[in-house]
Amino acid sequence: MRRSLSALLLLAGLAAALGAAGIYLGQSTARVDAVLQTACILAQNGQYKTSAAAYREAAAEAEHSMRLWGLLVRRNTLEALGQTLACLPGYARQENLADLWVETARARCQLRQLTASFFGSF
Amino acid sequence: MFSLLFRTIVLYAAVVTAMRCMGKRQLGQLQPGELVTTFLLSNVATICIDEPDLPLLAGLVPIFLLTALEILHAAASWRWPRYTRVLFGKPVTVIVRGEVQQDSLEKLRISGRDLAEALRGQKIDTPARVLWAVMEPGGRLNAVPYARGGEPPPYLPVLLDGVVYEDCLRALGRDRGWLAQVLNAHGMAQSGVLMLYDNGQDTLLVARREEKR
Repeated sequence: MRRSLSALLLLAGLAAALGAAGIYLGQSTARVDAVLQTACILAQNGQYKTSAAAYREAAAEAEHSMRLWGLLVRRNTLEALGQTLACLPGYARQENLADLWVETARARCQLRQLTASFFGSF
Repeated sequence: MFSLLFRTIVLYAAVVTAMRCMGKRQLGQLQPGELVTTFLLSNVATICIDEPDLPLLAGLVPIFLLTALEILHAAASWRWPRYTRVLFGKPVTVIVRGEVQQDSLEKLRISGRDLAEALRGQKIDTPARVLWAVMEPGGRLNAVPYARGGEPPPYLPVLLDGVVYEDCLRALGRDRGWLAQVLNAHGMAQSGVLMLYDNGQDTLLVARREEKR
């Protein structure tokens, strides 16, 4: 009976840990996505230096979160995201706006893939 | 490289903890379900160590989930023996009073050669010396030979976890009527008996704890 109780506690602990991990992943990716959106809007409005700073902030935020993300999702997904975020500040210029939209869209898609790889059922 | 060292240590600790949580019976004779769980645990840990791309949680969660499921499965098997019978089957009698049950051999897809080999493994040279032999769900043959010399006759299980072993009743020359008399004499219902053994001369009954109260 005690062993069954410990099994149920173990299951509850696993569910709690996965739930907490899911909430953290959702919130942290949403934060990075919000900063990317802000950076994109700033570039649209011609505020390129502020936009580049915002992109760097997004990259720093993602790098900070990657310590825990690495426990939850595949490393190659994180590496791809990191590479995309690293090149975004360099595109925050008037002559690179098309590349900026494309790479920002790629980064946001990679963030969605990140959450999908954790929450995916099959 | 440090990641590899860290993951190896963590997963090793997780597997050892899991085996310890599942209990000593894991380390002794393994039932088919337990064998599957043990293989799965080791494979999950190996894959997670070998693939640094995989997150650590992809190893730890399955390991502890399998542990919890195995413990609950063992508890369910103890609480509801029918659950185990449905999942893993029941023992099949292959020899009764020296007579080979050929229908059982056909059902189990066992040839005469296989049976002879299994009997030799138990140091029994011929089925005629066997009072009762059964193929366990795990694939092992267990045989109870006739008593030799001045030895007392061997005990056979008649009732285990509420299930009547008809073949053993037959081997002992008993029937359901005798069983009902024994249960009446002890003032017990069939469901209240954990184990009932008989050897034609003497009966051994172990009641379930709830009945004793």
